[in-house]
Amino acid sequence: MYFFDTHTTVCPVCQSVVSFRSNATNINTCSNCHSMLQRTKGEAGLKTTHIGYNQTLANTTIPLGARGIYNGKNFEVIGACYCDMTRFFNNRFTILFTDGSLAWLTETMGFYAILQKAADVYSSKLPLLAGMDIAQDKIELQKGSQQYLVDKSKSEKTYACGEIHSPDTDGIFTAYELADGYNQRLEVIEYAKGNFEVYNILYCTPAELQLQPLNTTAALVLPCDSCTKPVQIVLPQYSNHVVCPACFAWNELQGVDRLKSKNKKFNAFNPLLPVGSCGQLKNIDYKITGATRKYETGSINTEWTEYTLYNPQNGFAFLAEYNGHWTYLKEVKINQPWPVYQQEIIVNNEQYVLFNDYTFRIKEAAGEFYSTLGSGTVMAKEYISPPEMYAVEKNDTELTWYKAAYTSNQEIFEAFGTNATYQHGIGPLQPMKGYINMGLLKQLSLVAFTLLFCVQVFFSLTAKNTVLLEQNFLLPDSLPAKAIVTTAFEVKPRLANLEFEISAPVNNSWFNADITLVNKQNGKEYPLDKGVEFYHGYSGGEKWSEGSTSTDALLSSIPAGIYHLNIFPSQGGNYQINSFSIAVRSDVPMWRNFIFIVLLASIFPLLQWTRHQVFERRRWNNSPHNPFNSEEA
Amino acid sequence: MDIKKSHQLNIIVFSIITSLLVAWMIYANSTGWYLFNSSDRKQSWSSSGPGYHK
Repeated sequence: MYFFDTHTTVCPVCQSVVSFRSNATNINTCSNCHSMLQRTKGEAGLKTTHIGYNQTLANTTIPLGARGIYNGKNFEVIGACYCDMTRFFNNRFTILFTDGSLAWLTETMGFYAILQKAADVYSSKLPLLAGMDIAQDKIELQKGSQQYLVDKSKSEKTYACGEIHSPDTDGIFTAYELADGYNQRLEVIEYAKGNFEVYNILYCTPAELQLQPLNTTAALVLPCDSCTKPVQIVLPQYSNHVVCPACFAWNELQGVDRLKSKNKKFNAFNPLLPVGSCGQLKNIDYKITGATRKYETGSINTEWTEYTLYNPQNGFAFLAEYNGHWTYLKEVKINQPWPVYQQEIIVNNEQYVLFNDYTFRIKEAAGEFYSTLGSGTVMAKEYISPPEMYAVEKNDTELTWYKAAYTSNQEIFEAFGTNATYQHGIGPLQPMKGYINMGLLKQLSLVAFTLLFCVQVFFSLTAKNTVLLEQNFLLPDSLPAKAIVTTAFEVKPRLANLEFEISAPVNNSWFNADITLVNKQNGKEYPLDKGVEFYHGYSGGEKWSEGSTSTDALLSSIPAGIYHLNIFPSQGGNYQINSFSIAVRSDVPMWRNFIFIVLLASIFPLLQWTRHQVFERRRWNNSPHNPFNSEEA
Repeated sequence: MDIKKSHQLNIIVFSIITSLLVAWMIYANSTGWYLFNSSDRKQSWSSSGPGYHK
């Protein structure tokens, strides 16, 4: 960039004084005759350029003189270029900071970015860009950074007003946008062959820039080139094609004063939401500027309607309706390359799974568009994590990512006063009734089970396990009619569980103890009937055994006090035993409680998981990448 | 009901259930309350005993 010494000179057309506020700009508009004038390095005075001045197009959302703040530095818009990039319009504003430095502010279809000169660029590699394919080839323009091409566009015409910096003055240039797969984006502008400038693209929003004031643009009304009936263009600064509402001819907007028919006519198309209707969706006031009926190539009945929505501050968004299911889409500048084979992608630590990949074409259209509809087949892939999705579209000139969200019929009705009266199947992003994020539920369940486990481990480790009684008893040949009474023992805590362990040397026989725990102070009794049995033998050539010689039982919440046991033993079987033993412990761990509570805690997540599985199976029936098919196979 | 509200409601329900279960577990452990109290069970064995084998 060359820095000029002089700031004031004379217009060669009308002799008016022309003042430059920046010493880094080389083109300015004469405020009197609107000639676009250029100053050249080493030459005195000004000369006229080929860049046109156009006041109508100059009427964008950001007027000259608008002020804003970037990185804490105040700036003022001192010039603007309006570049017709064939597929879209790109507005480039010259912003002058209070410290005298200069930068570009660009706006394309509602996306705003500050462009700052990139450092340490391998300039010898820049000519290779022309031969690169979108989203496929990579190039190392800066050390350690592999960049791939996400957009390639050519400016066919440039209009300007105010002060701008431009290495050449025909207004024709090629712009390449590159992404590194992480968070860096570069714009390379090729003015004339071999004349490159490279900028870092720093995306931002008008709100972040605190731009004031902002303009509203005026609509154009032009006669249809086919039927001469008036056609309104609501967004002349963006739209380059419009469908005549009377004869449905496809017209191209040429400049700002003429429509040219492209010898293509659509059938009458009356979308559910009329073009021109306004509504608030996702807390943004939108106007529907266009609608298309698209179909999947190679498919007989896969058709959907897509609406173009516009808001001056938020730019464009889209609303797709398929089988009565609505999806809201907004372009996002994520640096994901074209997912050639990926079955899933990770964006912001969230996993999105490939639901559909297809190519599509336009069947019907109404309204106005910034893109050239029907100029070719577009490849698309959709990665879902309901109720959200990332969709990517790729053609020969651009790779575009969209973030999408399911939108209910109720939201559509509240926004536009009408909605789809039908709904078939499960939508790709439709949340199930009683929706819960299963990923979060899984994490919360894990936390809940860990918490329950920790509580159980704590009480198990701190359980006293106090032995209150440990006694052997001899059994006479004939069982006594009276109860065996044990020695007294004291239960100390206010309330405690008591574990009874009964052992008897049974052998192909059984032993049963009918026990009563008796509170010696108040006479309250706690009955317990527990037995052991053990059988073994040899049959069918194999040994077998069942039962055990010991068992245990638990009594719950026994109050503190002095207790003894009354035991009524009984036995039977092939062999008589002559002794048994009983041990009583207080305050023992209760793992069966834990297992039961964990089972209870599992009911809610299991129920949700089952509902989720059933719902997902129905959803994925519509996908060629149905993971449930591969599971079953 | 929108997705966010439904999700929040479910999370609240799950949190309440978990909190109640944790509270119940702490109470049961503190008081020795055993959910499968042996004294509540009635064993009805045959006259031949608990595991009569011919």
